Amino acid sequence: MHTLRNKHIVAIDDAPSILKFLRVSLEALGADYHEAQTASGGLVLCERIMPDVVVLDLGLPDKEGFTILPQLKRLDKETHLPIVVVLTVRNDLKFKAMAEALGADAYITKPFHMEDLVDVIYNKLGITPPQRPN
Amino acid sequence: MAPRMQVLAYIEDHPKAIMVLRAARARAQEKGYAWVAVYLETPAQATSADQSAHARMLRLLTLAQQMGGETLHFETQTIDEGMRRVLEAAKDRLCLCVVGSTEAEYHWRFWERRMPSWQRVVRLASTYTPVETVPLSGQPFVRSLWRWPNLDSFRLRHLLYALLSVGVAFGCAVLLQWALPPALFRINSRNVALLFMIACAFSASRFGMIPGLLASVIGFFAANYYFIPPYRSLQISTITEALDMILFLAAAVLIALFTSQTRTLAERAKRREISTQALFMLYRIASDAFTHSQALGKLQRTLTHMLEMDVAFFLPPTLSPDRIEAAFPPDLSLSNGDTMALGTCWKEMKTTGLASPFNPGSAWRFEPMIAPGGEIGVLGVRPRKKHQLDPWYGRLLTSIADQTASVLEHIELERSMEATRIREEREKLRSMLLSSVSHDLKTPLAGIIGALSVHQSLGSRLPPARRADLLETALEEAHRLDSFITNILDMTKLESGSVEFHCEWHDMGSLISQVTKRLQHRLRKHPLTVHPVPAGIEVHMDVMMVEQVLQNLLDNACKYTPTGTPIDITCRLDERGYMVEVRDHGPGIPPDRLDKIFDKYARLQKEDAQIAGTGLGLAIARAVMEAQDGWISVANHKDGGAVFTCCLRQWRKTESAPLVQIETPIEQPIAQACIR
Repeated sequence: MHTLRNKHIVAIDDAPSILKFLRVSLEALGADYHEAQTASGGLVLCERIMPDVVVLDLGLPDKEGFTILPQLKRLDKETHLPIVVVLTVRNDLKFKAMAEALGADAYITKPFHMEDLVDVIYNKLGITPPQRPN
Repeated sequence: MAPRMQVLAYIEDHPKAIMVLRAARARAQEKGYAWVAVYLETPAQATSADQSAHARMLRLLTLAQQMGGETLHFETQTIDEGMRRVLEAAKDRLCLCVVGSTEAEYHWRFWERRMPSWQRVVRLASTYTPVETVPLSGQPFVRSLWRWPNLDSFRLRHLLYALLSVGVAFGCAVLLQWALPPALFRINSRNVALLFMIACAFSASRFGMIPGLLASVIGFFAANYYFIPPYRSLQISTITEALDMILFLAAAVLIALFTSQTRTLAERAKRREISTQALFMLYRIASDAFTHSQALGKLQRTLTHMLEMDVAFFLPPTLSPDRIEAAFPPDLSLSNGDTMALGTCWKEMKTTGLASPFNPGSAWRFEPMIAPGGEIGVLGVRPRKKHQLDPWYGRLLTSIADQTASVLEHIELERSMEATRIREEREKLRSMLLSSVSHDLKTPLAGIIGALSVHQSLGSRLPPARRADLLETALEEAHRLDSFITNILDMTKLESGSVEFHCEWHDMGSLISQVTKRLQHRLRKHPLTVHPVPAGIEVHMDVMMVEQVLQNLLDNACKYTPTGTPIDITCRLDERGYMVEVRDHGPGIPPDRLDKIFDKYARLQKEDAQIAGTGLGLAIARAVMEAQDGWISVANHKDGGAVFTCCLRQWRKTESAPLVQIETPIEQPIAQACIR
């Protein structure tokens, strides 16, 4: 059941409630989960951990999530670059296009169901999702 | 739209100048072009005292207007220079220039042999456009060296003053005669003549030519009759004395004539000054005024004073642009004839009324005010009694009307630009508010949906403590969402004025404990200290509203300060009223945001980076406090953290103590006892 075992995931978001359920769910799926509440803190964390997946909020207290997106995508992890999932309340095509242009792999607008985020992570990491009981 | 082609008619002061106008009109009509009569006035003509030449040119220009042409009349240093300016300005739409040719030949001016002015104009115009000359028979009007001064300003009482000045001279002469021995006086009879000469020069310079001439003639006879032997007779005994008297008369008459001419020129200079001042004033008003009525009111007062005429401005009402009505002064009453002249002026956009070719019977003269952007209104003047509305005034009024029109248009443009700017700003603010509100609503919602979705999908595999954690997060976020929605609704209600305040006497201590009890859950990460409140004091307030203010302040203190930092609530009395202070120990508020923090739009200047639900709480707090005649302020504490102070002005001692107003000085012992 620990489908995300050995996957390093960093979440950068300033809302504690979001970080709370991300931690609960991703740790339950076996991921090595880390979190930061600011863009600069998140970048430092990513440089140290070299994550497989970064969950990035756009409106962060110190600076725009966009500003660190290119740096995140440059983190070299021998085999592949980290997957960056943008998580934001900005339901706007303009921002979505901008995020994609800067290298984001997925763009999810808040509020969202955790299954959707997990599915995107499975998809981007090439993991077959386990059968869900209906 | 391409500019309409033009035929230019150059006119000079000539008895047959009308032939030039007719030729120009005929050429223009053949091709369907417009035509313009041009009259250039050189300084020599402008300052000349020859009124008949002015009158002739005015008639000619008026005639040109009646014949359907436009007129162009301006002053220039030389004919050549003025013509070049006209041709340059019109060269793109100029197709023909009509000039009257006279029999005037080369003439000598000082040492220089000059072409007649029409030939110079032909030579100049032919470099721009085809020129047609119209032969004019007869000699042009010759302007003599001497010109009759303006007789318009002649008044009967001026003759009396002239007689009076002669009388004074006479008195002085009698005094001289009385004081000197007869032999000595006889030798001094020339000085007597000089006394009368002074009277003559004074009358001429002060009152004009006719009083001056009168003074010289009366002076001549008085001197002869009383002071030249044989006395009391007009006879003259010696040739020397006869010569003296003849020379006196000649000198006096010449002095009268030339002094009065100088006076006329001085008056013209004064008028020039008036027109310069009037136009300058228009520019100044243009830069000062913000509204039409402000500008027109000021212009009307200043022009009335400066022109010494009644001045009125007429504008079309906003809803029916065909009509025109008095704008300044608003209570002006016009006769039927005046109203008709005004209507014609507005409908046909031409000068009407007094001393104009249209409706000349009116007591008013109306000038249309036309700006580059279109017609603006009408300027009306009514000369006061005996005041002549001469061509010079006509020209001044036209330029004042034009300038006023540009001033008004300028103001209008500025206002519409300002309005557009405000509209854009408001639109921007509205969309920012919308995105901010949607952010504030969606962030807690994201927490709720996320936590519940995790609980739903993974719940069975999570340890019970984690499940409880998730539910608690969802609940917390739901509370936050609730308080935010409440804030939005409250703000809307406060702004629309639909909130009623029910103020009553209430104890602050119990109110604070109510609020802290309700916020217990949120306050558990921040140790809260409520310092003892002043005992035996009641405050006049709306309990529900003040509770909400306190709740918002405590909410903010929790949200913006690091976990574990304490919060203090202190109540005290001072000369301003009952104060409630909420102090946190967080990072404080950046000094540049201190004055904006209560502004509803303050946080719009930031992006969605801020913690949700923070936008309106302080704006509501301020609105609530002000609605109860109180206030709220914020400052940074010198030992760190922000201090919010709420003031309620009305408080009293319990047991039905009298109401204490802010004006009443507070008794010292009570104040001291109340401060912790």
